[in-house]
Amino acid sequence: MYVRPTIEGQLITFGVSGKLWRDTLVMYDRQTRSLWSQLLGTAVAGPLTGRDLEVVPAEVTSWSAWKERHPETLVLRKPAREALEDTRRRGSSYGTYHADPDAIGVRGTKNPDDRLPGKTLVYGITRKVGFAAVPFALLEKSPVLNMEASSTPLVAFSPRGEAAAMVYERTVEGEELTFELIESQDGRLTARDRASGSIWSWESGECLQGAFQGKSLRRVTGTTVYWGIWVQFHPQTEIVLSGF
Amino acid sequence: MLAIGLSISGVGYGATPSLPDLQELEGDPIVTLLPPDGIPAIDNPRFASASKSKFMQDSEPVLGVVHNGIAKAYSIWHLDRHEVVNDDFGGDPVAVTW
Repeated sequence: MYVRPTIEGQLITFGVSGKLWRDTLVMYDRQTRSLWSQLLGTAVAGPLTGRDLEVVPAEVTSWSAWKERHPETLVLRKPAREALEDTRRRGSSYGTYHADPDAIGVRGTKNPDDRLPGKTLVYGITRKVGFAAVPFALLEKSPVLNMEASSTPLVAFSPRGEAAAMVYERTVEGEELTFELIESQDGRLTARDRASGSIWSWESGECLQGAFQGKSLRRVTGTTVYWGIWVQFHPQTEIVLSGF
Repeated sequence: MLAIGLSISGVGYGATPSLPDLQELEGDPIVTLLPPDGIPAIDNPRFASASKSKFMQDSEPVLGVVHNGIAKAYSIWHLDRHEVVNDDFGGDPVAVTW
């Protein structure tokens, strides 16, 4: 998700161009007719070429998990006919695509890099700290993963075993912290750093209690994506294979 | 995120805007599958509260975001039909893209 910028007094709105690049969406903006890569968040043709969109961090999770954590949430409505289709199908209209281990996109792209199988779901870490792919299989095994990518100390929290992760830089005021997850008295999971014992929200990155109270971990944005797509954009990507 | 919408068509061909005729970028082809807006973005999204969300299934995958103090969820099954939502979080314009 991205902030929609205002450019020369015009608020940008996006449409679907009908074009694909590297098997991913190319958007256009209705104000300047520039083309934008959805995965990069960058204009790639037209008057705004080279311009980057600001990322709004989002996560992929299940509806039940999301509304439990955010009871006040709003949810996008669907037309009745489409809601009925979804109920009957119990899945995406792309169900067969997602189920096919060899298909990457509509044009039969072959996995360009067999360091991982093409349909491996990874959390692709973008911008700022360089590019790294964290396989969700690793996150499922380790609900809290202290790791290093592009020489940057990071921590990933994914306590529900779903394709959702919150990733932060784990350096605070020059000190490199390592985290564990603990169950608090009300049964909720919170993060604790081993050195100071401070309590942190894994969802927001804020320190709730202890020596670092009032500080926040810096969130690292990323995207949930198939390896075979990710590596087309970032052939030099690191893969995080273990953590601690 | 994964634009593979061959099965979706027939909407919004009226005022087809002309877009840059880009054939290739960084050595990889740009492939045109549909006309602009062949997959319709959502421009005026409407929302329900969690208590009025019978149209959602518990196991349904969602894209969730908290921004400007507002939490919103977007069904990924539904985003597969639209790919873009031009939304607004209390005055902060946001594009939901999939």
